[in-house]
Amino acid sequence: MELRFNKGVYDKEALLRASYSLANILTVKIDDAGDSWCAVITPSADVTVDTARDEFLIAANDEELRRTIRGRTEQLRMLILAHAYSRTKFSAPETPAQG
Amino acid sequence: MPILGQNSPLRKLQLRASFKNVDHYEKPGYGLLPFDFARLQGGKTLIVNPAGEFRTIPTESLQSVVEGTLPTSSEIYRDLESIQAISNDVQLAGELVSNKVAAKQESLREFTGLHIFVTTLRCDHTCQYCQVSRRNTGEGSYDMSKEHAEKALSWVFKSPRKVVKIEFQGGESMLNFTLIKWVVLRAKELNKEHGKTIAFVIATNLTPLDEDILSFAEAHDLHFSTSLDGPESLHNANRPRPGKNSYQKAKDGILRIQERLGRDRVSALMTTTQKSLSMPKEIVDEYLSLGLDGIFLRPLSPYGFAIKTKSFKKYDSREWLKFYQEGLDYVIELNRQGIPFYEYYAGLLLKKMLSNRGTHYVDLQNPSGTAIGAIVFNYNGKIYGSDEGRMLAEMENEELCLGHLDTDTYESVYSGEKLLSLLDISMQEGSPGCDQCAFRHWCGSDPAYHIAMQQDPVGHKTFSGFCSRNMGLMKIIIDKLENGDDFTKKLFRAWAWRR
Repeated sequence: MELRFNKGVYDKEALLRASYSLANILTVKIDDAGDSWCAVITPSADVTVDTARDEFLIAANDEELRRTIRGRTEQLRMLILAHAYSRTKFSAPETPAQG
Repeated sequence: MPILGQNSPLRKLQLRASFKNVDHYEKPGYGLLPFDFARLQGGKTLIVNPAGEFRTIPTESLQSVVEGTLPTSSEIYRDLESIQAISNDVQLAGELVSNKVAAKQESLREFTGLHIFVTTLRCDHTCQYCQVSRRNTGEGSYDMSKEHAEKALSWVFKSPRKVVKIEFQGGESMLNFTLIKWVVLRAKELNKEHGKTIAFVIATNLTPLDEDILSFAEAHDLHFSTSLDGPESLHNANRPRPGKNSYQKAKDGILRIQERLGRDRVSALMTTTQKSLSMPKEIVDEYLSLGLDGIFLRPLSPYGFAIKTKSFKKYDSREWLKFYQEGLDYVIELNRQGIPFYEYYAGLLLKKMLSNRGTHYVDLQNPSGTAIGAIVFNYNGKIYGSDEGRMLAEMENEELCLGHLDTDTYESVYSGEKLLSLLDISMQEGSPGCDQCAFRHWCGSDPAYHIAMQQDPVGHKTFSGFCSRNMGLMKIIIDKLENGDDFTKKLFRAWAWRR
């Protein structure tokens, strides 16, 4: 089964992440098809074509949304983690303290 | 400008044309903070912030949350604002989340608490699921020496943590009780200089328990942790020994310790085998009948004889989760009837989900608790970052061996490339499949499990039983918190804050 994903809407990373997360029920081959990504989906033996398509579309949309969230909050996320972990004394200071 | 009359048709037309629903005029006015999401059943989506606080929202609202078009007067807005997934003051909310994450990671600052001494690999049992590949009772070369125990003790006192636990494991640890006595006395002597709070725990099947051991345990405040798989027929089938009386020995030992030392001085752990799957209530009842205060409904781990005898492959995560849910429901029902009883696995997760604290449970740490949560000194002097690490070693896989007491120092192991690399790859934030998982905030990394199952410390989470089991369990708990009755919600909140 072949699905097309508009490049203006879907990033390749979202499609790759979707295929990784569904590796137990399907395999995907992704090719560049100009304005779109062409995803050739092969369901595993115990999964119907319809199920594989539906699951992949949902996963791709979710991954694209996660990409959006990550893109808009990445710097803040890194700051939160750096701030939190620096207080656990788990990480060493990057420069030696001046004595 | 002409003033239109109140009932003027033109005014009515203008009103209709000019005014829209009040939500339309609310500016988005909020920013996104980092959060993860996962779809749940029933059209709900789980939203979790980096500190593990969560809410569920209707799935159809997720897009508008992200687009910034959620009305700020809506209940969903208030819900998500309360866990700082969105806010009109992103900087302040970010600082708040950061403080919460730091509080949850308190165990990192405390560093290694659990020090496991494998006193011997000898054992009188021949359990089909034995994860440490025990040896026959006569094979004395599988005992820890005093020299290695002395060196291991020096590591205990180098831990920056003020409260430490020394746990004796086997084989059957008490088959080398001479060493246990020596370690306890020596630790107490050394501690005069260090002033730590030390708890001693003996992990044992209780078969060797006698008056001398009880007297020593009484005098030195030792605790016992034993195995109890359920009713007699199940326990004896899982845990064969000469005389076929493992259950009777465990039961007699538990009652004897309770009577002599107190009920809180002995706890028990069960392991789920294929035979256990149809008996969750009977197993819980067995624990109740022996006066134990709770149960840890644990699955089988993929190490040692559990792999050799194929016990591990006899049921999958789905079957275990069904067993777990039946057991948990029964425990809730007992509490509803006024019988206080605790399920430890749910309790651990609830602490992470509902309280502001983390847990010290090594299997659910991020980064992995390898060496920084627990450290294991094997009978032969080899050092492992977890009990599972030494279990792998008994399967001739030394990937998680961190060194040897004869050749390595505390400093060389804790700052060594092997441990740092293991901790590095166990950070969920950089782990494929975990990095954007909404459940990771309550979960952990288990390099040993994934090495055993997938020959890779990170593993492919889509195929991971560790992942499907924990995720399934968290979904059961969320469902009860969201859709359960008031009694269950209240009980779960109490478990989350239980000491």
